[in-house]
Parts: sequence; structure tokens; C-alpha cells
Amino acid sequence: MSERVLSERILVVGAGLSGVHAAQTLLEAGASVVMLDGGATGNPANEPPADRTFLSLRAEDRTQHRYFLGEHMEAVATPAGRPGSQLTPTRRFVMEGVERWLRFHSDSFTPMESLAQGGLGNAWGVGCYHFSDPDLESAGLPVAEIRDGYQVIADRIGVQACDDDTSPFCGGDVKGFQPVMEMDAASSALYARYRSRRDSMLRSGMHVGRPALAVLTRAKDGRHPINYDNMDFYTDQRETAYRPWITLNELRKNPRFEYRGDIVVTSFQEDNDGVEVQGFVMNRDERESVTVRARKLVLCAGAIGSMRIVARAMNGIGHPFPILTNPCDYLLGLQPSRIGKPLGEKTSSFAQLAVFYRPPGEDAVAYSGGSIYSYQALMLFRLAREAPLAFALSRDLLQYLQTSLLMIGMTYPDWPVPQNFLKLVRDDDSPTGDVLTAEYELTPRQAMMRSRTLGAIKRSFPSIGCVIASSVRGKNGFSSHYAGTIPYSSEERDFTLAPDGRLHGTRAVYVADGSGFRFLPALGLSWTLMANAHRIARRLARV
Amino acid sequence: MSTNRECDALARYLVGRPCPADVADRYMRAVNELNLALSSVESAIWNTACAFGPLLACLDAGVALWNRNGAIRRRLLVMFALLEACPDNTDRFLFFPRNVVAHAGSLFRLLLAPLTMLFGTPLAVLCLAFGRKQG
Repeated sequence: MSERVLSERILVVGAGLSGVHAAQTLLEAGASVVMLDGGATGNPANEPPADRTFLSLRAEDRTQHRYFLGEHMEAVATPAGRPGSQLTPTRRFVMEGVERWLRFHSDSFTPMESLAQGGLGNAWGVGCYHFSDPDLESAGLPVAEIRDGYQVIADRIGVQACDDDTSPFCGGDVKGFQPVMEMDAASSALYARYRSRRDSMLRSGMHVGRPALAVLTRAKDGRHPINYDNMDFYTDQRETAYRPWITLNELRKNPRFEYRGDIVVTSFQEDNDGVEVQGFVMNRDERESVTVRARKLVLCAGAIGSMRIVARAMNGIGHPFPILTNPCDYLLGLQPSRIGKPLGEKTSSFAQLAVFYRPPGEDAVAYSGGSIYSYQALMLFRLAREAPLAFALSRDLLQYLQTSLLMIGMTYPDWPVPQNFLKLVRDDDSPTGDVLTAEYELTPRQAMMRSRTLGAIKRSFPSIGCVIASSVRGKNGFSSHYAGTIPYSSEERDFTLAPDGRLHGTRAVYVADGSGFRFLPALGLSWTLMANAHRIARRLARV
Repeated sequence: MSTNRECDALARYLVGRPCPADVADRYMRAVNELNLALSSVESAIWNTACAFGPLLACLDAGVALWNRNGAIRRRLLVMFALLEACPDNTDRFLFFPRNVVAHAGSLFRLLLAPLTMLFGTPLAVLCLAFGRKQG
């Protein structure tokens, strides 16, 4: 199909996973793109030295507290359960400016938002999961176009995957995957036991396999393959794991691309000539407003961020917007056979295995899914803080246990229900004049799925050598997966999107992040976000 | 009690070694930045515990059960984290093959845990009742 060459100026709001891939597709179609973004970045001075392993830094670097604890002890000071508490100090910039510009209040929902260059993509666990056809249909996404988008995005960012029991949830039929990385000893032991009991595990609905990851095992476009230094939670200096700023750096070489990384977009106004976007300069003590004009606007500010902008622009203050998020649990597994084993010198911190649970006879979309990590690149103080034991005793015990510990993060699907919503309300104390509020609770169906999944894992994992020692329910919104605030609708209704991403009630405003999804399966949604952004940008290029 | 002596007592209790000077500096700064000041009752208990190691073990065990968000447990957490992020103590936080005596020491400390919890409970309750409210 031929595509018209664009020469008009298009504004893209947000430089996260959706924004950079929408912009790349628009540039490839000939458009001129201006990207507006908060633009916060990390401080290179706090990065760990390059090309050193976790173990060698622990043993030798006298300044390691900068990146393991934070110059101001941020990793210790933030209590577990607060937004951003899961971030390591070098990734804290993801939250910069959020408290000031993205005011939020709720007792039942704890989202993580970002104004950083690369957005939440900087904290992404790099799991690449593709929605199945029933998932896509439930989400209101066109199957063929998204499938095509998965391939385009995989070619751009580099994805590793293999064919195993989790393939129906992970890599799908995409071609050109990189080989999977080596597993660490703890996960290898677990996976070997799973393989030996595979038939009974599958009969009970439990699938374990290698996750598809946006992590290079072979060099690509100047990026380096994984070197197993186990510093993946602390630095991206080798560009091994994909982050949106890698694409952004490429886009900035294009003369038709302009990046303004100091603007918080708050609203827009449409007229006959196009769209005027309003915002503030982010790093000013006093409020300094900014307006930018363009022919078209593409919002990629994240499902919550785009909802804020749309609510302000379309008289939606006080209107309840739906919200989808994956409820989550964190399970701590213990492998008795690994107690008292030393840490491996060469390993990786990324998810080692993926696990999916779909009881026999259950709906195609009613599964729960998660990732399994080894506790090998995190400091013991995080665990000691949670244990009801004296610190000296915790240290003694955890030293023996560390290499036997597995962290399993499980998520559950979400469907829109009236009792779960976001609402922007007026607040004169806020620099934007409003504050976002939320109500969120698990539905009975989700509670049942959660209970069944936890029960199934606790029953089946001991048979593959892993005892579940504890499980903690993540606060609502803690999965950092958000969608569904401005759902797709074929009818021209307020606060909904046309199937091509156009905001109903506008001519030239599009939303290309996850705001339109009408369902959120129990998978990381990042790959689908990028594929959908590509889809909408490509359609926009044809308008 | 001077902060240096406090750091030394904490380090000896947590890892069995004196506190390196750079760790002590960071600890002092963190106590200020994180607002970990103690009430007069907490200070009295804390200073006594820091002067007498076994009492520190009891206090730590007590606050771990009864006053988890209090300033004393947070001070212990700060020192724990700082010692962990110090190369002098890698062998105290990562597992290395060890001899029978070291294993026996760990087992002994594990067996003592109920006693330290028992003796630490009244101290922790006092800290809970008369401690500064933490934000």
C-alpha cells in the first residue's frame, strides 16, 4: 500500500515507549515531528563504573553507596510500597518532577508516572509479551495490524526469545529473534526440574519458560550484547537492554525532528488551522507557560498522563475516566538445594523465566502471568528491612539464603468496571490547578483468579524445587501497567477514541499510547504499546 | 555518647568489625538528612545499648517486632545498608565458603534469637511509648 509523504508538522507529546516509536514511524513517512517532553535524565556522575561486574564493584569500589544506596540514601529512605520504591537510585530520575507537576491523591490506587526522557520505559523490566488474538480482540485492537507492528518493533529494538511452553504468551510468530541469554544457576535448576515434570505442570495449567526480552545477545546498531556483569538494575551504559532514549538519540539525528525536553504539556485547543498545545517549562521555580502550534497532535503521555491532558482540554474536570491496571503479587521463593551457594561471577539481573497459569477450561484471556528473577543483584538490606528479625541475625541468615531466593512477580488481567476510575478535580494549590484522584478495587473475578493462582503456585512450585516462603500483594497500580482511560469506540462518544486513535470530538488530535485499550491481559504491555503507537502513526500518515 | 562511638558499636554488633571512617561520615549525614533524632527516653536506651553490645542485640530484636518504623530501627537499617555498601564487608554480606566454626557461630546466634526478642521487648515497648513520632 502506498503512503502519502507527509510534510506537515506533527506534535508528539511524550518520549516514552509509545512516543518514540510513533515519532519514528511518522518521520519514516516524511513528516516533521516536534516532540514535547519533561525530559528529566539521570546524573551520569552517579552511574557505576562501566564494564565492571556486580561482585567486583561490591568487593572493590569505595563509592558504591552512590549507586547502590543513593547519594542521599534514597534507596533506604523510601519505604516499600511508595511509588518508585522499587527503583534503584540510578533510576530515581524517572520520578523527577512528578510530585510537583502530576499531583495525585488516592487511598486505593498508587500509580507510578514519569516526566523523564524515556518515561516509565527507563524502569521497564524489558519483558516482551505479545497479546494473543483473543487478548487483542478484547482490548479493541486490530489483530493483523498489531501483529505487523510486533515484527516492526522487534526489528527496531532487538528481542531475544525461543520456542518453549511460554511461546504462546511471549514471542509469538515474530521472525528474527536473537538467541536467548544464559540462565543463572538458580533458574537453571528450577527450569530443569520443570522440564522433568512438564506434563503434570502443563495439565494443571502451569507454563514455565524463557521470557522474550528486549535484551541483546548479539550486537545491533552500535549497541552491545549482554556481558553478564549483573549490573542491569543500575546502568544502561552498554545499551544492551532497550530503552526509549536509544531511539530518541537516533531520531535527534534527523533534521525533520525537534526535541523539546523541558515542557510539561497540560492541555490543548483545536482550531481551523490545527492544534495549539499549552504547557509549562518544567524546571522553573515560577510557573512559565509555553504554547506550541502544529497541524496535528499525537498524545503519548501514558494512559494516565494523556487522560489528564484530555480532561483539561475537553471539559472533563470531574468526569470519571475508566482505568485498567494489572493487580500484582510478589512471591518470595526459596530453593532449598541452593542454600549456602556462592553468587555466580557472570550472571544477569533480568527476568530469567516467565510463568503463566491458566486453569484447564478457563477463558482464553483469563490467565495470570509473571516473571521470575533471582535475588542476586539487589542488596540484602531490602530484605532485612522487611524481616521481623534483628538486623545482625537477618544478615547471618540472608547470607546463606541469598542465592536460593527467587522473586516471582505475578499479575492478573483487568477489565473496565464502573467502580474503578480516575477523576481530575480542581485544586488551587496545584501548579496545574488540579489534582488527579482515583478509586480502585479488585473485582470478585480478579480476587478469585488471584486466590486460585497463588494456591496453584504454592502447590506446584515445591515439586520443581521451590518453596514459596511469602507473598505480598502489590498495591493497586504498583505493576506500572496502565491503560484504558480513553477507550476505543466505534461510536462518536465523549472521552473515547476512534479505532484509528483519533480523539472523538476533535479533527487532529490522536492518542497513541495505551489509553485506548479496553482490556489488559496479565502480561507486560510494553511491546503492544510500541506496536500500537506504530499502527496509529502509520494510519495517521495515510490520512 | 559520641557519634563515632555509636558507629563503632553498631558496626561491631552488625559485622563484628570497627566502623570505617567514610561509613561513619555517611551515617552521621544520613541521621541528619533522614531526621532520625531520638526522644530523651530513646536516647537513654540507645546510648546504654550502644555501650553494651548484648543489650544492642536485644534492642534490635525488640524493635524489629514492636517498633519497626521507629527511629532506632531506622538507624540500624541505615548502618546495615552503609556497611553492606562498603567493600571492607563484602564477606559479611555475600556468601563465601566458610569453616565449621563460622557455621556454628551462625547457628548459635540463631538459637539465641528467642532470648534477645524476649529481653528486647520491654525496651522496644518503651521506645514505642516514648519515641518521637516518625513521618
